[in-house]
Amino acid sequence: MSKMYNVSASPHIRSGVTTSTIMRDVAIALMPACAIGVYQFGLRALLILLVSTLTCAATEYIYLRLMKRQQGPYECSAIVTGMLIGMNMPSTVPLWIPVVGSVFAILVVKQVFGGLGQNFMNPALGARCFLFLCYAERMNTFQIPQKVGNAILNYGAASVDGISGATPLAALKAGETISLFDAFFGFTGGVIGETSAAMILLGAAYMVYRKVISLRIPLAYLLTFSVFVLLLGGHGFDFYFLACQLCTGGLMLGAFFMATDYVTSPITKGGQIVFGILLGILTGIFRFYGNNAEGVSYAIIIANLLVPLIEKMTMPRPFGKGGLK
Amino acid sequence: VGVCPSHLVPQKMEIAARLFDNEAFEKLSGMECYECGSCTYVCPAGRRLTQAFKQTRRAVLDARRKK
Repeated sequence: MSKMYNVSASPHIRSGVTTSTIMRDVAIALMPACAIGVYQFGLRALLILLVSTLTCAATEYIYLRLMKRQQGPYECSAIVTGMLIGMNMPSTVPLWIPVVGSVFAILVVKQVFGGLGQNFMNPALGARCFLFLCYAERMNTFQIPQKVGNAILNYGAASVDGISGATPLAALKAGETISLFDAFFGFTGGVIGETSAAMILLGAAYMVYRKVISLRIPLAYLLTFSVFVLLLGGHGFDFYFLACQLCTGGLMLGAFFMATDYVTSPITKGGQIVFGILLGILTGIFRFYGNNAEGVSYAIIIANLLVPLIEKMTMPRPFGKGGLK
Repeated sequence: VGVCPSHLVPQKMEIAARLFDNEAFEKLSGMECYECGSCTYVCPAGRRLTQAFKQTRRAVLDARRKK
């Protein structure tokens, strides 16, 4: 008899939810934000997204083949990482930058530490911070969306390739006022996938509907950050300023797509709330007391490193154990 | 974690079981597991959690008996 039966204890049936289906849902949820990025910044944005996604998938495949690691059904996690890396790029970067970032994310942040489930920080964020440190100038040249740029110049679509300018978050930091409508719908400068809070929220709603994420981390994060802005943001109880802060930069993308990463966020319910609160405080500190206008990626990376400690502190008490005596 | 009716942490218990670290398994209250299988049912990575816990619980009980 060549094929043996697998004898094991129950349960023998499983829910249909697997890592692949979860990653596929995340990829679908990222589509609206990618689509608005391509609409705003043109085909160059699409090219960057494709390059980063394909590089991530190829790097993972080649690494697993070289290391002779068992390849199960493809889980699409590299595709999600690639999409997130592409979304964190300004549309002006040369194409080799997403390639370097993708290879770094998959090889150094993910596979060297044992692959999916073992990485200690979000691979896409690790790559983003690496690229910001190594190629600061290229990564900080943000293009103003084509339509807005052309309207400013009044030259017509064919006259210019693109105009670079400050992101709304940098404008806020400089004390200028910005249009909340533009910031919410994405008619502003910035990286490809961060500009439209509306599209990110649409994707987040899909993930919540599919039960891919719970709202514990994003809500704790956004609420804590809001309190921080109102109390220590330097603008008092200015709710317009608060709304602008929430809709600009990488806050929405970070809160819903990066902070909720299963591998690098706490597994305990209490830990997830502590994690969100920590993220809100760190982001506030970086945005208002740091040199840089943005701070979401560094906040999430630092909080990722504290996850084992948070989990230790918030370990649930087993049912029936350690109650009142 | 959310699905465990005993409020245990199956992810960490599975690591202890895989490493044959019975002490860590007991510290994580692994002996309180009544093997309902909820964690195995929902595990997206397809790990055999309940099966690992069953084996480790047996090993812990054997070790206790030998003492």
